[in-house]
Amino acid sequence: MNEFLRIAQITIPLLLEGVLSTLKISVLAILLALILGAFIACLRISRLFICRLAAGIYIKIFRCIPFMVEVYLAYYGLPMLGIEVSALATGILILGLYTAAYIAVILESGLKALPKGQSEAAYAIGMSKAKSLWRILLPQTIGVIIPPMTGQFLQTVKDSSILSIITVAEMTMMTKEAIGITFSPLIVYICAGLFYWAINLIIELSAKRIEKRHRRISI
Amino acid sequence: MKNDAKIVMSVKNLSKKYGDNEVLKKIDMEVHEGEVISIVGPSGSGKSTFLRCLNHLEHLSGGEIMVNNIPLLGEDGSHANAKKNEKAAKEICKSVGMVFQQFNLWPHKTVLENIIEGPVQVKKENKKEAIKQAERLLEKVGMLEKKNAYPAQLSGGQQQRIAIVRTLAMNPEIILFDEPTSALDPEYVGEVLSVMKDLAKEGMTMIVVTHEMGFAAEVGDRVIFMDGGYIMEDGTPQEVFKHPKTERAQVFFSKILNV
Repeated sequence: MNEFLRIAQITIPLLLEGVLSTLKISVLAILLALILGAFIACLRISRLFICRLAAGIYIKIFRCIPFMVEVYLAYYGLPMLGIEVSALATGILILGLYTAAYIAVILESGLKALPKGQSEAAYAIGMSKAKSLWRILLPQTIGVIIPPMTGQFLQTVKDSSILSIITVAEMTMMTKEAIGITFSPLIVYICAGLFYWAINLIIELSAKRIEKRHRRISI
Repeated sequence: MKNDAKIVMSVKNLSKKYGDNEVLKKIDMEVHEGEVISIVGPSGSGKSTFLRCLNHLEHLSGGEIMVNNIPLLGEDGSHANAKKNEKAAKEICKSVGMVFQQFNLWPHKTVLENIIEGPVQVKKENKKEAIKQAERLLEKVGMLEKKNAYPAQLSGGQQQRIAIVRTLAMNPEIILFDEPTSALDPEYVGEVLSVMKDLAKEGMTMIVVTHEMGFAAEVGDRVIFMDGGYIMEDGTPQEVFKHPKTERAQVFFSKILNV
């Protein structure tokens, strides 16, 4: 039991540091992904073929390559393009770009699921397309897209662990460090698992609350 | 009857194609201020498509539509026309309202929010003024007490009356009705038709795609019979219902008027 306490004493402070870093990375990546994903979704429903094509290619590239490969590509590729940024920045950027592809698909399907009459009614009063998207269509998709969106956010938190391979000091990296000190991989990994689970549980529960509140308003 | 009134809309040689399928052919029509025109005909005759061309919900393939001196031009093979139409439609939609078969109220907005959306967001009117006007209109159709309800809490007839008010709030000169009573339970048809009749009496210019021959006969100044993408008959209700010139119209009306 003493042995367990000793391991916990070393592991938990390290992991808490990692939790903060993981949270920071995830939040920033998700914000980037939401903005970029919304933009790509708009391109996907554009009337111009070239816009739809460009967005389609983006989505195909980022969804069809394993995230770990994308991380390495960014890590070695960005400096080649003359972009010298920290591993942390590289990690947030690539996680954001990757998540954006999924968010774009979720938004696109949410928008396409709406009855056509909704946008037609906006068109018929002379409303601009941008305004109709923002004021009429997007608010209606929220009820539908919250569950898949939540799933994507959970996934993004988990995917951030892969950034440990490019020396980003997030939770998985800190886990390895704790193992290096304590030589008890199982216990440390159990702790790490619990922390990831706790983060995602909070995200899931908050999403449920938002979803419930939204249901009440819309029906 | 009202032929001396100003022409507010004219359609010349309008055609509409989906690929090789031509659904509207050589359509000509003039609408005078204050006229109530009913468009009737069998399903698939192109009447809804025709109506939807008038506010550019459907892109016309060929021909020309003039609304208050703003032109919409045929878009087939002309990217420039398509771009011009996009701009023209924005202007046209400010003076041409539309009421849909499925009402198409916005479910996430209350009745009042549905009604003031256009005046406030598109016409940039003062919000307080818009609310006052909305309440006046709601009072007129007897639905003021429902102003804070959501569309899902209303019956079909109530939703359609709100949809009409939403259109009226934009102060349109012309209102297009796309089978406004077809999606309603029979018990609610009357209340919507009576709102439309009041509008007609007040001198609103209306183009109504409908299966309600009674409405067409009672308040319509003109009836247009369409079939196979052509306008086959265009005249007063008396002329078209009682003495149709074409055989197609004779067959159609003999089937539905003598039940």
